Amino acid sequence: MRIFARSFSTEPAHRRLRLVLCAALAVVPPFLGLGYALAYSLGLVGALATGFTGEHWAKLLRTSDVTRALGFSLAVAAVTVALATVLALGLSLALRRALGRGLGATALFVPLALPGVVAALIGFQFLGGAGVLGRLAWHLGWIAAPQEFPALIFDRHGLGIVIAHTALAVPLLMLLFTRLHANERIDEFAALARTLGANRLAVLRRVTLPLLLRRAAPSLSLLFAGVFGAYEIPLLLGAQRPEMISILARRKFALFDLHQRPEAFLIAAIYAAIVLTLVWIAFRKQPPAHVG
Amino acid sequence: MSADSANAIAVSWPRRAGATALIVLCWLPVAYLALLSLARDWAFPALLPPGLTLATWRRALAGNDGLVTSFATSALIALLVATLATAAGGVASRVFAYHRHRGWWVLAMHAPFALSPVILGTCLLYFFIRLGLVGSSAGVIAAQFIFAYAYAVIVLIGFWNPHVAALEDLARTLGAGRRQVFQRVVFPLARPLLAVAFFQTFLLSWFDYGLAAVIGAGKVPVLTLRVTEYMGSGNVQLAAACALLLIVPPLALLLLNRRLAILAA
Amino acid sequence: MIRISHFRLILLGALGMFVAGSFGCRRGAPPATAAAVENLSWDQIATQARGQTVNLAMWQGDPFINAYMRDYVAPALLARHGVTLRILPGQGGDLVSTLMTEIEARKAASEIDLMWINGETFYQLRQLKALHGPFTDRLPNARYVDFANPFIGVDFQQPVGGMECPWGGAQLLAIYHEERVPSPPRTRAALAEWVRAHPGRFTFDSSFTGMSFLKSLLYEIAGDRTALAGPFDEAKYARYGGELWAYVKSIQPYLWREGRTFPNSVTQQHQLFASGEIDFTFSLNDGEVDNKVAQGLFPAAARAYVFDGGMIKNSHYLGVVARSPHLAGAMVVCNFLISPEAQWEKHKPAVWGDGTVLDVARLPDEWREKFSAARPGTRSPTRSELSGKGLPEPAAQYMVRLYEDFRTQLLH
Repeated sequence: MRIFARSFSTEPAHRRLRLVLCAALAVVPPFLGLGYALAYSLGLVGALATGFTGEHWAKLLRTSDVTRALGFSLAVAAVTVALATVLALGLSLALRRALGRGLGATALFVPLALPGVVAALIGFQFLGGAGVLGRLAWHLGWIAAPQEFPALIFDRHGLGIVIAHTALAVPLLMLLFTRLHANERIDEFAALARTLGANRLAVLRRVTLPLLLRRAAPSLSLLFAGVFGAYEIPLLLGAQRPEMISILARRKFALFDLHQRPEAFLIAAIYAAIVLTLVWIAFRKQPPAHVG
Repeated sequence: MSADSANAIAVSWPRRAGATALIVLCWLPVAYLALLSLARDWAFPALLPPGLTLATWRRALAGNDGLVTSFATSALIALLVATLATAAGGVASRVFAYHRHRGWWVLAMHAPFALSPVILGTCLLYFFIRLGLVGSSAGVIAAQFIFAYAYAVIVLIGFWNPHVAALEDLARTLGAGRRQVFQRVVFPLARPLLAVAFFQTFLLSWFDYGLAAVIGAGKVPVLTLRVTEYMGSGNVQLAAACALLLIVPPLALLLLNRRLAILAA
Repeated sequence: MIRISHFRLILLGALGMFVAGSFGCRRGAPPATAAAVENLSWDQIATQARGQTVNLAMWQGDPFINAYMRDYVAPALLARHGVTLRILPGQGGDLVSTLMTEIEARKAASEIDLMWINGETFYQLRQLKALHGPFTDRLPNARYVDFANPFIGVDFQQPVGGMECPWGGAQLLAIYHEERVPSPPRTRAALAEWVRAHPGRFTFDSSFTGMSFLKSLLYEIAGDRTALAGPFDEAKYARYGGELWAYVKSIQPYLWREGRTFPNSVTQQHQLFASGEIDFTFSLNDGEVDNKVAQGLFPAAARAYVFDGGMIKNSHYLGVVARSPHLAGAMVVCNFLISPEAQWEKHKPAVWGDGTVLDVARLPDEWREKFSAARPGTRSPTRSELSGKGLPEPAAQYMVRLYEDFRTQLLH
């Protein structure tokens, strides 16, 4: 029987090398990029750099567009994950049997084949004033002209961004919850709880939701990180202000004042630090990964 | 067991209606794109296009916009990325799996996803230029490989368990060489999950926009870039056709084998 | 006994492929240095250019311009000069950013050979020393170019100096819907009045075209077309710019979406105009209205006009990248684009409608007749209506400040 309990220090050298190489392929590039970003933001590298300087970091505390972009991105990500989770939980629990195995289950896979750019195109076509929803509203007599339609895209609250990301996330999460429901044998636990006298609401609150959410937490945190750093959808559906963090970093990268380029890297460094911290927190709470 | 009882219970009509509505909503984007790509003009407030035409598709497939080339470029890059990532991921996942702290190694594999592809591409651009990888498919493949490899490890790590280890050991004690063990014992068992990893990494590359834009420097004309290009010049019909070219292959594959979409929990 | 495991083999193999690919794939021709091209005659340059692929980075937001390049220029270059033209997306700050990263990485040969640029990009590129030149005097067709014209020989108050080649000319025009706007406003006071009477029907975009409109208003505030001449003047900007932002903020609540957001490109604004959401749009392309109406993208009632105080008139240029590995090819492409034939094709309203940079008087007879007989589109102002209404571009920093203040003043 293969012995699993090994620690790194007692590994023979060639196995240690293997472990490090395998890990390095995925770990080195992001940290290399992060290191370069930090160095650039401190003035250590760059075509117009003049040596170590804390001015860009100091400026961060004075200007508001970075903090605003961070706050906005975090808010959009949080709202998207919360909304998508609630919708996906509700729909998957309510429609689990109605969707069945055939047409219903298949339909949920269709949105998985939609990338960000296509979702943005659809969002633009549906949510714009002269788009599908606008035309429906016009036919129903609710509006008289395209500009009366409420601003769902290019708006200051990021509604279009939230809607597009939520629409992509809900089917994904529904599939996840359905699979977890089966794997974690929720039905059995629920039946057990009912025999012990719990009513339907208690079963939901004490059995179903905690089990599902705990097992789904890693996926939800990855979804959060994904929406936080989203680029294509905000690029095509977002307003100029407030901006999502990836958009801001790219904009600062290409500003007229070339001396402001370090700010773009500074934003990248902060953004990476935030996401790394969040991922760390989310995965630390997981029970030890059992094999199989 | 529970499935049988589920089928036996009659589903109430509101739930059936809800399910039907959900099914329609899921298919709506694809149907709309198809209609848009066939529409002649489609201005406010028409709910349906006034006329249909094949001109957009003729231009997409036979015109000199190079969309067929883009399709082939995207496909080739994605196939290479998927192959390399699945192979390397398979190897690496085994290396990590049989280690006491495999949880930490797997966590480390999430590192690339801490940065969005655009931002990682921007930060690594300097290094890619030094390596001469910018503006070429090789560079885009290398950049996408970082993400695809990490994801492949995450997907495939779940395969290695004491059961597989025991089978490996059993085969070895019965005299099989290492190569035979893998060819005859492990690989057949791993095939379904390898297919999933291959498909997922293919999608990661096929749908990528940020890395192709930054590292490709506009010279690698993948389909995602073309869709944005047509949206940017206001040609929504061609953008819709391009979008369909982008989503139909993975959609077809997914519908043929839904298990390809198994998510790494 | 050392057994090399299969895993290690596969891993090393993959790594090896990766490394080999990274080094092996960039074996192209060594870049032709400026010195090498310096001593060649034009015939030798043309010969060297044969078989080269020239990468041209340009704005791709207009399908007509894209079609002109793709369906006319690229085939002609291939057939007549053996040069393959490859169009890359890229404009303004993105281009400069890419080239700057290349400089930082000490890259010997650039990815881009030729660029479609304007004044502010020209300014930045000269800062980075990223342009090859002076080169325009080497081009045979440059003898037809009207360098003496202040709108052509001077780019955003910088003398061109042979570092960029003029390509075409543009006059900013306001486009309106004739039926919905029977008498369009021609001064900023009239505009403010119209906007207040018709809330939500006017806006301008947050990129180049919108800034050109704001620059035109800046001139009207300054009162004199020579007021913004010369290098950037902080005091002037503080005075006129302050008044400009006060004016825009006063009409902001009556703009589209109550001025809380603006179209992020002129293409987007055209779509809003076409769908009827707004009644005005702008264009730096004289032939915009005619060719878009002809294609059914704009309503037939679209017309173009100029404000009484004049509107920005400028030229756009082509720049050759200093470390381009295809200098000869880039120069051949440039030379073709300023040839009378290519300029005439571009001038046709159905194709692009762009103004020519050639001095018509110096052209051979057949071309002179064609250009002289050319009628502007029926929906744009006539040449006599436009004369005297062209405002020269002020120094690049004015526009940069406008970009910055646009965000801080209007979008808060």
